[in-house]
Amino acid sequence: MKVFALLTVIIIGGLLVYGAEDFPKWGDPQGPGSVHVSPRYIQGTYIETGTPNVVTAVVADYRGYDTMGETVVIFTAGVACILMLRGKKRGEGEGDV
Amino acid sequence: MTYEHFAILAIIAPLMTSFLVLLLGWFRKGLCYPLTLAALFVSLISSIGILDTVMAKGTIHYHVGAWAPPWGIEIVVDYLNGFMVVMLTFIAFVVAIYSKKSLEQEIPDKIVPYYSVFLLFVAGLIGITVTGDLFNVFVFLEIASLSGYALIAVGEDGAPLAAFRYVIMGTIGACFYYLGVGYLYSVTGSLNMADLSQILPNLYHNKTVLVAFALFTVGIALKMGVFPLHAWLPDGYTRAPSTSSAIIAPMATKVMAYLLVRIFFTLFKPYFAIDFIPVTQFLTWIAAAGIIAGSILAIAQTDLKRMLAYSSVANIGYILLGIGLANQMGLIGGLLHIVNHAFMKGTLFLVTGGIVYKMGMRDITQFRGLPKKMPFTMAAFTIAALSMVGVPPTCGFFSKIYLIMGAIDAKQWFFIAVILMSSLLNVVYFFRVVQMAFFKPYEPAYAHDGGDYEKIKMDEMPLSMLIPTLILAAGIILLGVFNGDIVSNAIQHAVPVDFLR
Amino acid sequence: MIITYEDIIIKTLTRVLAPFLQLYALYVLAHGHYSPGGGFQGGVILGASIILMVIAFGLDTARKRLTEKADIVLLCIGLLIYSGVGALCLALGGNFLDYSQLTKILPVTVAKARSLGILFVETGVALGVMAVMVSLFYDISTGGLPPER
Repeated sequence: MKVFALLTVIIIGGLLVYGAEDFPKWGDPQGPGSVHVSPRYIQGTYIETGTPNVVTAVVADYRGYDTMGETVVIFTAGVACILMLRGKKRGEGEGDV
Repeated sequence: MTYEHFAILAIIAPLMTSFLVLLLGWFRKGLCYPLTLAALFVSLISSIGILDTVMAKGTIHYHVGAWAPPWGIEIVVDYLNGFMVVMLTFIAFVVAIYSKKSLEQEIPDKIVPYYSVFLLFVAGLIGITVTGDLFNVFVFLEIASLSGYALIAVGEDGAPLAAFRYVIMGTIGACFYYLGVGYLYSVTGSLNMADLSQILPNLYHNKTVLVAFALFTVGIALKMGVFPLHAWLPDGYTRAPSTSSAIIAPMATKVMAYLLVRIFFTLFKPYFAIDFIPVTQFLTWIAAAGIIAGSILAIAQTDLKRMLAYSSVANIGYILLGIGLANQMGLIGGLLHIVNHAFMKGTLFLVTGGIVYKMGMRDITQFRGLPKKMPFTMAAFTIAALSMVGVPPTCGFFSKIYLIMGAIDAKQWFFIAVILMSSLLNVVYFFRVVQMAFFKPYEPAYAHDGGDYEKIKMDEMPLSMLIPTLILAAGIILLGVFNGDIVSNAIQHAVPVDFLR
Repeated sequence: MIITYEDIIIKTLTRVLAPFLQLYALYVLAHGHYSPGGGFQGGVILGASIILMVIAFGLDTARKRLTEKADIVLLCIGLLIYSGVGALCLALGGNFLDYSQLTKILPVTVAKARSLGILFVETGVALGVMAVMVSLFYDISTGGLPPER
């Protein structure tokens, strides 16, 4: 079983390294990540959203729907914990805390 | 108000209500149930509106925040996810009606947060289904998974452990998916599915794209419970409360199946998955193994819920087979089976929940005399069982026929044998239950409450549980009767155009 | 279970530190427009100030200050602010989360409205994150049991 787990890890690690071979160069200004959507964010942020910080504008406005989702993920974590743990009365089930 | 807004309304109605439920429910417990119903009803109506708009005007593109893609996030609804959304919201609404009594019995102290998490789960799945953005899929995948873990973890003894195993497997799956998104972004610089499908064909030889595709496939297969990766599924479904199994079993794995179709045939061009790297070939064999193994494992169970869980593994195999055959008939069969199986499994788990509610047990060997006690419940069970086997007027027959036609088109005779073989195995394990309940001579020693046969009175589950069960059971027959319309009006258009080969 | 030590240094320091922590949290939240920061970071600092209070003064004292019910109310309000701003834009006739629609009710330009919209939702995020941190901390440290009375 342990050998199997080790093999899995090695295979997946190898796969990731194999895939990384064709990555664009680190920090390449001509890389796809820098030329496709970024220019509009960098040039348009202040004009369109009145916010100098590009990161904030992208996170909370251009992709605000994702951020709402992320906040809901955090909410879900909180409610899930409430659902699993609360609802007990003092005295019962204190042993398994 | 334009009809496009229905697309967002279907998500935010359950999402915002889940906050309201927690807020108001803490002060008045009784508000949770009507609020949940109202939200899911709004969601159902809007999803029908979505499908209607799609059929009348074509694909809906909704730009959240009014930012055009690829800069902003886009919600895209076409035929493929249009009918999925209607199915999801319908089943969620029906199960929500059902949930009240069952929850009051099983987890009376936790109803308020339960409904909140329930709504989050539904909203998450709808979010995955309608979005047109790869990263947005991940965000809603997280919402749906986290709430799914919690829904399982509140069940009987052993549920937290089952949920924990699900957490580990599910997190690995989501992690693979996320890595895939990251890899694709690094070589394309885009997250929008439509945009990506334009950019990607030039990059099909890129190693990063190949690895991203592999990561997507494995990650989604993990979350979908495809055969060798299904280990989390039976325990999770068995230990969860009745309502949770009834909502998770029909919906969670199906949405993942949808996502697989979306990535295989929309994000990547169909020829990539079919010819370029013949992964669909490989998937059909996995699917065949899953169909046979799931059915055989189901035969070995005496716990009804566990049996249904293994049967789910087999049915995921059918859906995967439809995807893997990758021709028109096969994919229609797979997509139709997503809907059909959701209805069948929904009915079966609702019936199981009713039996647990009334009897407090779900051991098949003790079902004798049950038809006299709960005739309507057992009737619903029989309809669903017939459909699982694939008896003509029910919907299960038609998806199997399409799959067989797909296998004929692909000249894969072996898979026809697999489908027929597994139908026989389905007969074995479903009719074992039916036989146990209907045809075995009644013996007090094996009965749930002892005593004489004559003394058993009709004692059905409450109407609020019975009616949803019967609605879903009727849905099985209606889906079967109107399957021609469903295929020609919706599902046929969901199959990619360049798919006929 | 959290054991309280009667330590005057910790208690005094916490008393001095807590208001500044919270003020700093508000700064991080509001200054997210100009520098690194924003709702998540501000919310975490806000939550940390309350967890610091729990560590210094004990669970029961802290749960009298910020009860679990109040925490849940804050949590829901935070999330409702975010989705509510989105829904408000929807109600004003735009798309969901289209902050430019806020110009219809606020006397500002489109860019300014978007900037304000960002501030609103970040506030919601901060409240939500703070409440979840505290709620998780309460739940895990007590195992979900209500306070002793």
